[in-house]
Amino acid sequence: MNNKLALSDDILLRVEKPARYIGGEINMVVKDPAKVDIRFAMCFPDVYEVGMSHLGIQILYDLFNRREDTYCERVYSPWTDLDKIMREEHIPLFTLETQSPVKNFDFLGITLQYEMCYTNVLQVLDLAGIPLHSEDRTEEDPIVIGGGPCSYNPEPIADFFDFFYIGEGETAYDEILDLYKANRAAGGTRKDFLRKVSHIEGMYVPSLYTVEYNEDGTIRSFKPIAEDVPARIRKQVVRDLDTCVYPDKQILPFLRVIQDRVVLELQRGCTRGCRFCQAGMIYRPNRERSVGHLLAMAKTLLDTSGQDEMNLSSLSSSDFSGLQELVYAMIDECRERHVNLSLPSLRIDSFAVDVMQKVQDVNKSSITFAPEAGTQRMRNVINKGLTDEDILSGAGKAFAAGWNKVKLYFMLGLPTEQDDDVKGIAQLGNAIAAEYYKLPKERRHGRVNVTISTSYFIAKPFTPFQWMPMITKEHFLENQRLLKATVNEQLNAKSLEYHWHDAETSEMEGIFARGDRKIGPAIEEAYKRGCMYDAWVEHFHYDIWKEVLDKHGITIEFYNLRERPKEEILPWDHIDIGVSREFLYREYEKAQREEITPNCMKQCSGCGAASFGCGICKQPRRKEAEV
Amino acid sequence: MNVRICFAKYDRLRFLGHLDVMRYFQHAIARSGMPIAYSKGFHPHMIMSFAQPLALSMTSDGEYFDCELEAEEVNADELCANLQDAMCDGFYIRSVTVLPEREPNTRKQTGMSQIAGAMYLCEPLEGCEDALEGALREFAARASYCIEKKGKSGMRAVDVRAGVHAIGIAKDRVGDIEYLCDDGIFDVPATLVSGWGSEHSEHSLHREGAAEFLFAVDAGSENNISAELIAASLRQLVSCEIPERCFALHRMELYRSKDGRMLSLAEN
Repeated sequence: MNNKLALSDDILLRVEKPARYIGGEINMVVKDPAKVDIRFAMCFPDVYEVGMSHLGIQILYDLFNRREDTYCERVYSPWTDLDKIMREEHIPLFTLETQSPVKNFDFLGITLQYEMCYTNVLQVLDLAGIPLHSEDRTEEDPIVIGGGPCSYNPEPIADFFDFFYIGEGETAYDEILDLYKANRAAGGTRKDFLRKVSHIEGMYVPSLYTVEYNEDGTIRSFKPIAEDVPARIRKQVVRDLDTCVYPDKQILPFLRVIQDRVVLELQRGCTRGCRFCQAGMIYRPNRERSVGHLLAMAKTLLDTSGQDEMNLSSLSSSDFSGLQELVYAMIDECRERHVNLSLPSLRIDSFAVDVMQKVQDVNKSSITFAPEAGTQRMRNVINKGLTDEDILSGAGKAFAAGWNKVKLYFMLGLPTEQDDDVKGIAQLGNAIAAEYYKLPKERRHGRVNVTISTSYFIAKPFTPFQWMPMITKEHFLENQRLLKATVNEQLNAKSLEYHWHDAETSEMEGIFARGDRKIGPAIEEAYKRGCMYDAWVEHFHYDIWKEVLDKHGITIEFYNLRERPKEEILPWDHIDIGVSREFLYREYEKAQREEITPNCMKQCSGCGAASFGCGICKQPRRKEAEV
Repeated sequence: MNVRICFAKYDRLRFLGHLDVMRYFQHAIARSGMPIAYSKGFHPHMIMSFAQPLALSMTSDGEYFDCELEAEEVNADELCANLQDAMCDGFYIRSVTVLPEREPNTRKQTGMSQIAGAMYLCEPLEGCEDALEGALREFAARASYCIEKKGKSGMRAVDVRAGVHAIGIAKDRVGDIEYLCDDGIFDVPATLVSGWGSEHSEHSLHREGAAEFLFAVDAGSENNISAELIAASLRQLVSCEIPERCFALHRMELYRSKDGRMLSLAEN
């Protein structure tokens, strides 16, 4: 291993947490860059501790490095202190493994996990010395690829990427890398390569499409520039998770990162169909790993990491069919090894209470519910299949078992929301607290603590709410005040606590989420005026963003506050996630009628994901009682 | 039973802070399968205790921690080999020593509380060698040299010179060491190449042909003379302009005191 660091000792001693920049972690892959054909820089455009917490990069890192001809290295956004020094001293952005300039790589892959990282994408390109616009890049520059959830509507950042990989990374990268080598061997150019890439299913090369707009700013047409370029880009899907590669050695950071635990991915996709949830739609169909496979994976991951915490990851763990079998088997293994087991997104029922008692400290931990809305009517609109009865009986069981802290998550500004729905949030909090005081005094442990958190509903592409208006920031703040006041009126007000999220970031996120190519220049200008780390409230400059959006004629009315008509061409309509537009529209109509749609496990609603021919779509449905 | 582990820290990892080093070893011990004992209670943790933290950017051959094992008998060589297998580049396990059983009714002596001495190498950075060598000779010739140090209750003066027991200078890394002073408390090396050092010397940061200043000093809770304190003293004695960071610093060893002599922490 080359031990020369890209940064001098002087700089490393000047910046916060120099361990962010030195690499060398356990399970980092060491190769001789001179002996590979392809160098791939994999980037998470946020600070190291955030980026290193992401499972997707671990999967792709392992996948690429299994190829002998490829060396995949990691790169993260330098924190603001180092960013400043790198600009002043003209230090090019480097990878952690070989500490070499990103500019010299064949590929720069950037994962797009949330919209507020867009200015950081530009930071990474800029510090690396790569032209920001795809059209300005030469044969000397890496091919810049985007992936991850935000690539399902990549239009706001389309100009900055050479292509987007739509869907799951395990399936098509081998073909892409082989194509790259063949194109290079044949003396092909960057342009030749991108044209050929567009023929691979799931690959979206923005430069090969033209957009025309109507006078009102909506899209008139979106077309490929040539016949051989597909008009629709269909996402990539892993058919069988058990046979697909999974990293048996995950990189173990020296620093304490956000997700400081090994991650066991139980399943992909979700069967619930909540109407606000993008992940629930874009990752369809739901596919499970087998319990045997997961147990073997868990053992290997603990052996190779020495981590003392393991996280069972999934969009909705309770829906995983082998959960009881898996968890009871893991509890013993984990206890022997002094490993903590964490199970997020677990529906609170008798099984969950039993498991939590075994793996958590009753005195310290809290139980969590995400009802998302305060009234049954509102929950029917969003198709959140959780009733007051479920919540109250779950909380009651947990209280009886010794818990006295509850966290509740809600959204404000959901479509069709009325004042009663807002007040309902406080009333539900109160009812939960009341449930606690039903316990005889000797079984209580002090006062119950119910924390209510609200966030701002953001309409996302590929959800039934993609046509829906969002509420204004002012309306959102009014709702907050109304909720705050209602919380204070409750009988158990002293047991209730209310937290809320920042509205300004959410407003911007809404614009990016459903934005089109007209947003790109504004993002670039905001970046040039110093915006970066927008996902970090302390670094978010609402005033600059506001000015830049005004200057570019981008209005909140157009992007966030308007109901989009059915026939309007949406900026992401050329992406095909398998779930049909017709299904989403049916769901949009059902939402307005306050009708619910059953869980996929109970009944197929014909969303279109069955066309992938795998997962839940090919399995017999479960009985009512099991759902 | 208790064991004491001696390890070295080199290269990139000199930018790893003390807390991260502790976390790293907790994971490494779990990977190596060492039968470490856990504390009782709902959140059990490994029973281990680290000796003196090392300043960021320093390399070291003399880092220590003690840990308690859940075993009657162990093969120290095997523990050492297994732990070495769990290391990443830059960490090297130098030795695993079984500590003698504690006499009944005596206080537990961990590595930390035993520390009485340390040995450091200070390598002048390029361009500062001559000026710093002059400063070194002047420092050695003095009977006392005081410097302001930030303590728990504000600034206080520390006599750095009084805490230094031996000063040596080697013109290059493989040459003999010339001693400017040595009061005999430490066993000082005649040359810089030790049996261990040669094996891993390629991992060392040190520049080819650079001069090395060696210091054997008091350390521990009572009178801790750190490498930075020595470096700061020498820099003060230089009359010309030199950069703030004028040395690469390296810890060679930590010592405990026994019968008026300094013994390596690895020795029983």
